[in-house]
Amino acid sequence: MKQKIQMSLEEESTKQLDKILQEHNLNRSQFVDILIKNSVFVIEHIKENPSYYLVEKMLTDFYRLGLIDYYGLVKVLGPQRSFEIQQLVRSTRKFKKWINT
Amino acid sequence: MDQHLICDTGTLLSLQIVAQNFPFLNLKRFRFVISPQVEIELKQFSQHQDLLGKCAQEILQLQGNIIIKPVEGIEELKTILGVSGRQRITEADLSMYLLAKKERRPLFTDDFSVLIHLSAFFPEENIFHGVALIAHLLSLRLTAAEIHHYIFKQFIPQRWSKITEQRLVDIETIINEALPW
Repeated sequence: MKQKIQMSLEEESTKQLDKILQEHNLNRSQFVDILIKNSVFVIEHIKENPSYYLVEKMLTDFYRLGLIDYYGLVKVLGPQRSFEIQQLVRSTRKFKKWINT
Repeated sequence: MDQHLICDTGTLLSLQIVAQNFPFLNLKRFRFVISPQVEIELKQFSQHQDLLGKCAQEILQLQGNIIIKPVEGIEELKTILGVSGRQRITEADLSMYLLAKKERRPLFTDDFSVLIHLSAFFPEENIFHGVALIAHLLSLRLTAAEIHHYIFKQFIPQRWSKITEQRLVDIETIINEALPW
């Protein structure tokens, strides 16, 4: 369920953000939703290495949404982990296509 | 959605756990096509009296919904993949890949190593994680928040008593990608 929430944000920051999001056909709600979901998930479920997984989750979602490319993942996460993430995302996208056929 | 599903042992156990909590899943509407190797794994699980053992017993009792088909070419596939002697990818895993290919249907696996390794070798094949299927089936009745809550609070602790943080994050990635925003 979606809920409308009013927020006060820095005008200059949101202008810059909107420009980036528009280039990728995304909206503010999706972006903020990701920030909230990832933060809550990591705080709630990741006990041993939360700072690493917060970064990894953010990068994974940026990659899923097209905000960064595969090489953007590799630079931070390394080739092996990036490859795993790429395969998981690709496989699940194929699943969605299959389910709709 | 195709009612014939090719699922490895892990995915079948996962589906049964979810079906116990959500009877609307009704596994009897599906036909599960499995290899003799997976049947053996299910029988081995069914010897135990824990949750997974009981789930295996219930899956084996689906009888008319379980279709067992033998496959050929496991040894050749081992050579192609270079997995001879590796414990992570078993003969049962390979048999299910070959069965899915033969049946021209997707393979559902709960094993991340199998999914990643086989997807890399055979990018044209449909190899999906069982959690994607579970998320989709639950989304027919539950909200995304309810699915997340169930998967991480109830399903995962029941299904995998020991799970790495990396795999927890991977499951979340699959669910987020599988469910519509």
